[in-house]
Amino acid sequence: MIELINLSKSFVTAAGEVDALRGVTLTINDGDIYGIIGMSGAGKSTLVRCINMLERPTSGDVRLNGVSLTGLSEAELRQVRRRVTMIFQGFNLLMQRNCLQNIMLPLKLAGSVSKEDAEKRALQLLEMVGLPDKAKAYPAQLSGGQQQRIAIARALATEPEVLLCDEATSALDPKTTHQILELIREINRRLGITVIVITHQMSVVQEICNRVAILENGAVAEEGEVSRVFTDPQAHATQTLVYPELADGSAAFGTDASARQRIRLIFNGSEAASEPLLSRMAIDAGLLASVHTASMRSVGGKVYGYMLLEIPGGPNDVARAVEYLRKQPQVTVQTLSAQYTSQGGAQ
Amino acid sequence: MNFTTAFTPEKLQEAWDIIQRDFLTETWATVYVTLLSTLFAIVIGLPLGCVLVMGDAKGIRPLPAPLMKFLNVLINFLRSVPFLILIVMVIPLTRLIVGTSVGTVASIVPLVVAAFPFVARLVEGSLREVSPNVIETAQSMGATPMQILLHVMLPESVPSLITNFTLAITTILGYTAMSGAIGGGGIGKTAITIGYQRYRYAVLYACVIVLVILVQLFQTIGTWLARKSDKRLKQ
Repeated sequence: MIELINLSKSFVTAAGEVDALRGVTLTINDGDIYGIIGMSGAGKSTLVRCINMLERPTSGDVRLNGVSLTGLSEAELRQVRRRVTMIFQGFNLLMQRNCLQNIMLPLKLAGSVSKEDAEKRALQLLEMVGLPDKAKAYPAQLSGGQQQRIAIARALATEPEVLLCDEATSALDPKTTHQILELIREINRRLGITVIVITHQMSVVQEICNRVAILENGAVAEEGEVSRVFTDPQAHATQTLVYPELADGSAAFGTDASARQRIRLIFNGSEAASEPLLSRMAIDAGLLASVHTASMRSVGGKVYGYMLLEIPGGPNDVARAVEYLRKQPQVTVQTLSAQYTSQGGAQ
Repeated sequence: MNFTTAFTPEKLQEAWDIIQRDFLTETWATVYVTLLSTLFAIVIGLPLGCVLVMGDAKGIRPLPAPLMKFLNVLINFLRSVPFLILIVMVIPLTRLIVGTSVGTVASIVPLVVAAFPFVARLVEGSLREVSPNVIETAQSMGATPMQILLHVMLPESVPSLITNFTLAITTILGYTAMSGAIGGGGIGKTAITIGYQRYRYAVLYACVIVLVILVQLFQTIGTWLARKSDKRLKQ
């Protein structure tokens, strides 16, 4: 278990003191794939570096299985870093060393196993990440996705308990991203390694995380089960990430004359989106609706997303449509007149 | 220099005799003085360059600021003294090490003193090219500062170090010509003492040709080695 307790970090820069983290408190359970998401500059990178003490927090504590890391010496921290390993956005392999040598490096640094055993382990890891034939290849000969696989194998060499992923898929294309996330998920399942995923992409969190914390300006804006956060994003920062299209509140309804005829339907994780809701509304209430914009996604088998509907006719029809749709389960209805508030989704 | 009288058949014949007599031994003297001086300069300059990078206030193993200041001032001082003056300045040191301050072997001492600060700066430049991300990655694996230097920074900068050591060799080769001033042997000395001071201009030009060939040779080998060692280029 990893506990971050009231973690703060400030840097002194030419422009003055910058607070990168302001009192972050999080608990990450064993076996979690825990997402930490935020816009650039939110403090995610600093946060992940505080977990393995590459950055020492200004105040607060980090506890790994109950042991406070802030109290450890550099030598003790080096031991901890063999149990809490890390992969990076830029892969950061040694370009002058072949894949096998790269994977063996952490074992060589630890000095705990013989060269033969290290090589054996490296070959097993190559197998595991799906690149058994690349032992003698140099990183420059590999694609980005392959390089990240080697980096993952390297991170697993010392049999860690925790794997920190710092924007590990941000430099990869969507297909490769998916494959790497699959691999990380498999590692989590097969080896029981706790994974902490730092990202700015909601899709990454959606794909593999079970819990997520949304970081904004160095503080946790929201935290919880991924499905819950997707269902009912509370903080403005979360709404911005979940539905970037809705980020600017009332502007999402459009600024033209028909904005007041528009209704925003938010699907809070249900089968609602797979039902012919609009057709049924036409039959049941005799109301027509055209879809202005829509964005749907599936998380853990449930559907989340939103639709912006335009109701032809007068304000009466709009009111009736709102009334009809509010009766549907797991659907939230918003209208422009209902005054969009940035904190907490208004009904 | 009078060209009409410098290249008469008799003069050319005389030059050819000198070339046959001196060039093999003098070229060899130049080569071994250059290589030995470079070797010693690297022996001192390589660790010093490492200290400059590691011990920097923002380095991976910061050393006391006054020490770093002293090293930087010392290097800058040695690099700003003209070589000919440096030769004279280090005469006591040369006597201490070699036993005499004249001759080919004695010329190695001032060459090393002049070259090691240069090499240190070159090494510093090579090591600073190593990506800070890769260094951070090593730290995240629990590497000690010394392990980062030996297992990450130095191996990663091998091609750059070879390129820079080649630059050092060719520069030191240029300096050897001046060490003729304290009786150091070599093709540069032949150019000055026979070609210039005794008006054998044909010999002077022959010396220049040999020096050009030597520089080309070192540079070609260095470039080839650097390229061969660089795994980033292998496809």
